[in-house]
Amino acid sequence: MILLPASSTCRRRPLLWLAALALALLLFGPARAQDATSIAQARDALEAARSTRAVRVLAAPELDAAERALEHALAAQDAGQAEGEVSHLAYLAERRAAIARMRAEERRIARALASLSETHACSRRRARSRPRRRSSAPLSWQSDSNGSRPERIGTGWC
Amino acid sequence: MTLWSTPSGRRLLAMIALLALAACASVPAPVQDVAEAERAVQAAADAGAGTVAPAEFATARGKLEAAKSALQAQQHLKARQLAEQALVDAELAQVTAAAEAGARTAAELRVQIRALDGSSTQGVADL
Repeated sequence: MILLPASSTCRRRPLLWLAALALALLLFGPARAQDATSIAQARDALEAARSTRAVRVLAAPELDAAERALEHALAAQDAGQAEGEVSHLAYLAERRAAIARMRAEERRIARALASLSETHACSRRRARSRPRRRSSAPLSWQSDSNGSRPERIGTGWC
Repeated sequence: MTLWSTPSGRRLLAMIALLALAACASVPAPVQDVAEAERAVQAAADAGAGTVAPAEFATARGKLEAAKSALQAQQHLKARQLAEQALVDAELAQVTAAAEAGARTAAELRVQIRALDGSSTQGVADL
């Protein structure tokens, strides 16, 4: 009886208070465990994103957003916010970390695409110049139709 | 003796009910959140996420529909959470679709470059 509140109702009806305590534990115990698991998952996802150089370099704003989201979730956990809210905020943080990783991948591909496009343009110029080079053998410069403006052909541009 | 058969038990029940009502009443209708989620899902659909990142897109769309239902049912807290989740799911679907589309374009370009250059594949590194 020492741990029970010192009110008269409590002393008169200890079973009632014990039942209420058990109910509270039953209701909120699993929710808290779920919150902790969600936070751990979000933390792992963010750590994985943060430890990847490409993400740090190519998706810094998205990584910052993920970090802020995790801080928000941790603050909610510390404040003992309502059941499900911490898990919800942790989910947002975990997804933001995934977005950062994917955004870095997208930007890496975009950079590679820019380089590939240049290579492609060079290949096309080379392919077009091949028959013409046969007709005007060693020349790397050729006049256009009115003969005034030279056009560079061959592989010199690439 | 049951928990709610005593006067103090009934008072406790009434307090819990009042608190729950107060909590529901204090959450404003997340109309803006749902609208933002809807725009994000639409943007993901426009980016081709439905075909390129179907799992992420289906998750986002499902949550958006659930958020709308919760909003109609006056379950504001649930509606807000679902809308916020739909928003990030849609963003992930959209960026996944963009990355996938870029990778496909790059693969097509590599094939064309190899065809144009014949056997030479120098400078056409795989992604």
